[in-house]
Amino acid sequence: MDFDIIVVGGGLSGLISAAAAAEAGRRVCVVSCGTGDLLNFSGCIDLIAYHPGGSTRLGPTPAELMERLAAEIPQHPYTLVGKSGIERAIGFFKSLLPEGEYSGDIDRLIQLPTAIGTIKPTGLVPRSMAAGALDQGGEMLVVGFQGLRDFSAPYMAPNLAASLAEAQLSAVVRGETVAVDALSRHGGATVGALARRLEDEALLGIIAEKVRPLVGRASRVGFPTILGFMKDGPTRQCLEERLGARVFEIPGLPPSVPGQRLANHIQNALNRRGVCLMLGDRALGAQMEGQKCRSIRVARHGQITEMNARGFILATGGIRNGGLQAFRSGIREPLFGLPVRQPSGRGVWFRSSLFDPEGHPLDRAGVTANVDLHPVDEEGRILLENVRVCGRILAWQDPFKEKSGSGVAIATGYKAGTLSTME
Amino acid sequence: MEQTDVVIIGGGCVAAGIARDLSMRKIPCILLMQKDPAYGFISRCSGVLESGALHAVADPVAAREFYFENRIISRIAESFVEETDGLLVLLPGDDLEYISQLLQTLRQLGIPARRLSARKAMDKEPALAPEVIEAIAVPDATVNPYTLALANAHSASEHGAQLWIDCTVLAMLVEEGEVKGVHTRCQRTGEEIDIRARCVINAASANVSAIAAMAGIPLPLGFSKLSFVLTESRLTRGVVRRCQLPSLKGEVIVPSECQTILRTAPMEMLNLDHVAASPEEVDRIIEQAGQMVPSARETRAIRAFATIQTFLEIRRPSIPPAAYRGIVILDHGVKDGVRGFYTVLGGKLTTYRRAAQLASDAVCRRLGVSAECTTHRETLPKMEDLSTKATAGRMPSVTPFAQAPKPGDEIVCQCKKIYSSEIENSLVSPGPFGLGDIQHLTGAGIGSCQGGVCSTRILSILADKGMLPEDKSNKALREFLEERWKGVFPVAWGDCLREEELIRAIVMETFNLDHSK
Repeated sequence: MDFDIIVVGGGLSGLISAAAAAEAGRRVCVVSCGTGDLLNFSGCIDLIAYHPGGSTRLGPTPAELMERLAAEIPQHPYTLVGKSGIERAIGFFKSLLPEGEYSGDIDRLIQLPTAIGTIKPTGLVPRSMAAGALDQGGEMLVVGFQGLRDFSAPYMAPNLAASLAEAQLSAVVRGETVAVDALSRHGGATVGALARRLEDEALLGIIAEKVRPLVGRASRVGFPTILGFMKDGPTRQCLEERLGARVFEIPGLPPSVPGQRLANHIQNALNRRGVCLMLGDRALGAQMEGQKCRSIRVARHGQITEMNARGFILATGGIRNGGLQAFRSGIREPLFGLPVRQPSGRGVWFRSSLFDPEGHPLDRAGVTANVDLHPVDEEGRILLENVRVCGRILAWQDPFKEKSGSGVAIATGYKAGTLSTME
Repeated sequence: MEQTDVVIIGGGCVAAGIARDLSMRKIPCILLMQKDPAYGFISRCSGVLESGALHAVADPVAAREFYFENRIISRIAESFVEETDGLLVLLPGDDLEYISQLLQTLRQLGIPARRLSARKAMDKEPALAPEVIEAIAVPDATVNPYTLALANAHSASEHGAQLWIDCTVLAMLVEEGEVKGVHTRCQRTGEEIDIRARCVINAASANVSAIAAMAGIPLPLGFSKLSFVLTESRLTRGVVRRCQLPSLKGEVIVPSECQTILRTAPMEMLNLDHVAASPEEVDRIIEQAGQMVPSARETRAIRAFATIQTFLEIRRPSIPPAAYRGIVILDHGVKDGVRGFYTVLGGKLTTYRRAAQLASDAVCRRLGVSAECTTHRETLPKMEDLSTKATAGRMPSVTPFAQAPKPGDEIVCQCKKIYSSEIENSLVSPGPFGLGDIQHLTGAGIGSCQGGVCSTRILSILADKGMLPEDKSNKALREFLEERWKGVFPVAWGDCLREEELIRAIVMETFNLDHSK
């Protein structure tokens, strides 16, 4: 099997880089042992909400924060891509999806309610969540279901009310739990299972009947992420008509239904561009020729296959996804054995407070890249001439503190994919 | 106001053991626990019923007492003691003379011990390192300390003792050189109450000095620190430790049901405010354990924790204080002129019953009661009975075993397969339950993710039942996660770290909880 570009890693950054390379007419293959974090994430594209220097204040726009990063952290992935590059990447991301599927830009933060009643500042928001934005005032009703795991309206609503007061937002929230016989018979439904069942119009009607009397003066009604598994549009529109209010989804615990929808959209876009998706296959190692990677070995159907390409994109993720491996002795990059920038020892990986405003030193560990996203050593020398690096494996970002994970994935994925076409 | 004969302050095995002993002698008493029986030392303890061999050379008197009690507990708590045996293993470089000295002392003390060749030792304990030269097999056993404390408390309750949980002692009632009871506050209701009593026993382990100070008695204590690592799987059949003076290294590998606890030797306590295990200590524990049992290096660690041991500064001149393992009952009437007030020190898990007996004897002498101790004869309640017998009054019933799911039940804790009905069952009396209480009572959150995933689910159940102060649930969640982190970050590498990265992504990226008040 010969390709121009092989992308290792099927998370958000890998898929975006594959799409960008394919857009330029390259033959692209994605080798991935899993779906990355798309099924763990909220469904929103977090661009950046907080300055990593320990400030806990919300205020500056993502664009302003990116400018500060550019001045302060030259190696930060956002700095490597640059503001205009980030904007192009966001435009490209949106172009892969159905028209209007995601809204938002780097010039403002959107604040959404979460399933535990906290406020989540984010960048791009799926259409299913748009009506939940908290800068709009008015009353909101939040609906939970008896027997539905991982979403409790009596938990969420009072917490959200407290969060809104704290943030001096004027929205008002009320929580209700409804019992639907057709659901409770099945007991212990998950959000995903319920989302599948809500594609059934009859059940949707039953739920609308239960919820309608509760709407009262609420101008919008929030549900857990159950508005259809593959498509949320028809379910949402149907409920909006019957409830006479806008309807939105509330991001919550994984497995993520909005993440599944996004993964489907992007995979469809890749299929249309003729990208070969080898999902479930694991890259084991690489064959080198001088400073270039010639091929990678892939475990496929119980055999080991050698795959050649002119260029490679390393999008294997961070510690969570195995792109970086954490041993007691240190952090390693397993595929190419690239040097990993990291704290001096395990004793200083973490601070003793989980929510320490400074963040944890380990969280900024990773592979260092130059502006072309080539992996480099400490002196900035290029280590692999035909390999680009993107996503969570890159050093210097702190998605936990900055709230920048999916934005960095899209920005660096797009840039890596575009540049790889020069190989 | 309440009236009783004896108030016992403390929540561990010794305190519960005293309540059991006294109530079996028909003496009315109240056991006052600061939290529930799982709080404090009991959940920070390795659970070894020592054979005495560890201390035989340094403190033969205590060693004999250990062995004697080890046999009694194995008998009265048969249903939840695991007679694992223990191995003292000799590695290259270890003192060969010590092993002969130890065997001779054990023979003199009547503690059964067998010298095993490397091969025999390996047959008995296949996980041992090939470097092991030889070993001594001794009759160590293990017990779940929480279950043991609980069984004592339940037995005490059956014999008429009152169990009060979540009670803070605010003051000691002392009149004319005599203790008359305690002034206490119930944490759940905020209610303050005087308990009048003829005797008060201070068995509050790490807090003994603070309690004694309430009666105006200075009680200067020495402190040492123990650090522990809990692993996801069980590595050994029995207890494994080095055949050395315990003060040298003394790392212990203790099987604990399906998990393993690795423990350091007591360390000097430098900072009393910082009772946590550090990553460096964890690495040392694992390296030391790995020398005896190599799989300790590979297994997934799921939590690290530490505890303080207290000891009287000077006891026997010939023994360094930290090595002294004996029990001390202080009669403050004799020592400090405060009659009716006693402090129990030095009771270990293995000798808790003996400590309870000695304290009860002292109280009986003062009360003029001639009844003899019978706690060594009567068996403790069986584990399965602990789940069904709701104790009277102020103590919730307990479900130590996972129950069969009921219709409509859903799994809350995926690691330990705990269902929502079990969580609901644990909520027997209304009040501001903490997450920790529920986890102790149900076993939810003690598996490999250490409550990282199920804590929000448990809080949701509380919210659905209207049992949470409305807008305080995220504060409770934050506090729980912060506390949990102290036990997780020292062991966060490999699979543990991967799971932790997911939990942090949910908490901080999806929920932005770090910016919630």
